[in-house]
Amino acid sequence: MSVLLWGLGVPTLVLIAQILFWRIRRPRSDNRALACMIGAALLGFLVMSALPLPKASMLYPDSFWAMLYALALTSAVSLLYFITYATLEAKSPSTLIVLAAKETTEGLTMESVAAFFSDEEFIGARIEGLERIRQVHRKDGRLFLTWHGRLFLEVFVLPRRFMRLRHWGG
Amino acid sequence: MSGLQLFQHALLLFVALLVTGVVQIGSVRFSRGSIGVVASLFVGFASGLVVLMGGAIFLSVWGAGALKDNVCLGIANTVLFVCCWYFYFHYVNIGEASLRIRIMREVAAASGCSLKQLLTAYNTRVVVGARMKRLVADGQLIYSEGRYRAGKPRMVLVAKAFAALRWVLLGKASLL
Repeated sequence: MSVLLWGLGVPTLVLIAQILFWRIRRPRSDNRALACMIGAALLGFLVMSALPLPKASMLYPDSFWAMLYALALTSAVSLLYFITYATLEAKSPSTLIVLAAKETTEGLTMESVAAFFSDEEFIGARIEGLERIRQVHRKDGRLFLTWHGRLFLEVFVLPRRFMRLRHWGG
Repeated sequence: MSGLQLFQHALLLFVALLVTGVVQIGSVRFSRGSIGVVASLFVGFASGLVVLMGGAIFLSVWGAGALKDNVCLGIANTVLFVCCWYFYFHYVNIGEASLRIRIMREVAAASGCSLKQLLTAYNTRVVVGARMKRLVADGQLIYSEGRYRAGKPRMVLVAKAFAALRWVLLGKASLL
């Protein structure tokens, strides 16, 4: 009971605090602010576990392992929420296509969908983003991957190797 | 709540996640293209969940500790399992659908290229073509008489859930 209470209670408190703070003023770097809030909540959780509170209470994890389980649950739920929040304002081409198809009764053609997107928005903006986080660099007008860009690519290509996928998505 | 009881539930979670990964990879590898990556992720999820639920029932009856604690740990394990699957889903799906990963792959394959060369190999038309092909294969779009129409509502429901979350957190539902 205590594992569930702590594991789900801490992320719920973070969510309530976030809604309150964001309603007052949305931070400029909101992903960073949310990461700080989650980090503070996890730290608070660890401090609470170190305090000499009445551990006989059924609301308190009664052993080190129970505390560790509660911490794993808190971290996993918080991370899940963080990932979801980070994608909240991302414009996925697939989602936009499906929503556009739902709005029309006569259906979409490949040309009408392609005209809706631009290379600048979907390719150019992403290259700029990759350059900003130094995964791609430009030399003599040519694009190259940096070493950590290569590493990043390898990490995400790994499941494709296991699945033996030959085609490329995107 | 004993250490043995927690160990049994942690082991069960590990086994369920292992089954999820093995079934997901195996279903793509051995289905020869009949199961798509996204569908395989759901197949893996269902397999892992069956193992987790079966194991939770077994531990509740024959496992160490009190029944009440086992039920609570079973619920906690289910939440942890869903979270871990969600991370795995994004990890695999990024390799499949991310524009950034595809751009990086094109740059790596060419051992360096100009923006013009990149746009020749990978541009909006290629992105739209790949996405629409995947959406038709997944049943999200229906292709008939040269036109694409709305199909299964799964992605629309996800988009609506995200719009609701945007409204709660940011005070705006629209993406645009």
